[in-house]
Amino acid sequence: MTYQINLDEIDADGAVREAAAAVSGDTRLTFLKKAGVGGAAVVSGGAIIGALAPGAFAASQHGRPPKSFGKGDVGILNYALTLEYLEAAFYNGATAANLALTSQAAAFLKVVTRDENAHVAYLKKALGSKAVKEPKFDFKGANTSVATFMATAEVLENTGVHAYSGQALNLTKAADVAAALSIVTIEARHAAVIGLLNDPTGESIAPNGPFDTPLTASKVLAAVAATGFIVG
Amino acid sequence: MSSSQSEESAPQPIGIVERLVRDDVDRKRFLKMAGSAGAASFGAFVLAACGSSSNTTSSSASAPVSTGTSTTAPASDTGDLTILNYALTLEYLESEFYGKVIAAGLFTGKVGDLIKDFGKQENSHVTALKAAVEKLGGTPAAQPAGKFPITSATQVAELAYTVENLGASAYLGQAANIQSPEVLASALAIHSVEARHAATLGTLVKKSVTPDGAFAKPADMSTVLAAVKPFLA
Repeated sequence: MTYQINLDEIDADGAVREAAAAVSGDTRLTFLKKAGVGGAAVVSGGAIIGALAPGAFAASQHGRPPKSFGKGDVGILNYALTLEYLEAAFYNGATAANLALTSQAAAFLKVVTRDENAHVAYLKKALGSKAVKEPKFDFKGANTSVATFMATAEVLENTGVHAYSGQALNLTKAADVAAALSIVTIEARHAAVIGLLNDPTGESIAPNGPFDTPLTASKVLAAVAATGFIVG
Repeated sequence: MSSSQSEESAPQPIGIVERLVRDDVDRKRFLKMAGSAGAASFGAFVLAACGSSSNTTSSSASAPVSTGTSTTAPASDTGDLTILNYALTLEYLESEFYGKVIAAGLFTGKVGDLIKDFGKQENSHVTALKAAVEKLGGTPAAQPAGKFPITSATQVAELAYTVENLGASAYLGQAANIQSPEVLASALAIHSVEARHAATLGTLVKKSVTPDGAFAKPADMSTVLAAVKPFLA
């Protein structure tokens, strides 16, 4: 399954395409397998994200989303909305699949389903007519099997932390900054919980250690593109 | 799936936004300095980054300040120093709390290791915040003497849950007041880790991992200081 359509839509300067190719041009399944999913191995979101973008505070870690998302705060919020659409759809699908989750994992799913849908609703409302439409998703079974659900959720949540952290300083309106900060901390909570559930040693609770790290929009979008979840 | 709680809008802060809009050159300067720092860690970044006022000693500045900003210390720096020292005080308390908990030997195995990791992370926060205050030319707050009831593992874990949630809310409560992009970046990097701690402890003590729902709520300084008062000896 290719994702040229998606890249054309979001990749104004070819940066995402290049980055996605660098991630190896794999299909989603191969990408996840390389990351350690498939079978019993559990992927650490930090391992994937860390491999994509070292460094916490380099100027390059605050790169904005492409102009196709809109200008200024609108562009950033639409970028955030796109990620929230993806998370919400992923969790809605997992909920509908009635997975045989442990009680803690089921409680996690309930919380994140509620929260990500709330984030979508908030951002759509804030953006009004400027809100991007929800992309078409195909999770290709990632949210209908317990192991891949748990692993993918961890990646998605940590990606959210990196994404919001990367853009918070680029926002200019008071309400937008407040919203981003209010949301990023929730993503961090989600990430910690699924990290704990996936690795009871606790090493995945804070994959970047004492300081969470921002990522550029192009790196985040490359990671998202590599999953193949966005199909239109 | 949605509820009225889920759609409430976040509060409207001041401070950083006015600053960002008014003085875009600061942000560009921050990004330039951040790029040149090449720091592998936040602590190193803080040491390498430029201070934002004449109060800083220039010996370790990594890039010249050529924005033409006033050489008198703007009120913003006093505000940021206060905020950093406030954060430092809270981190001192958390660090001391975890130290005492670990010394009490109440937790073993995986949970024990997890608590130790949290303690180490709080220690890193203390170190980084002290360095940030010094970099801005301020005097770091003294380590307060804390007193924490430590009776059982459950009680301690619940107390840790309360403290971490408070810490996360405290950072969120100040983010809007922070003037310097560098300080804001550091506050954000720390604040989401406090949230990770809080959510983890919530899982362990079977309390909500998102006590504020889908949008975290800030707590102001007076609320937080009142809440920590019982823990100051």
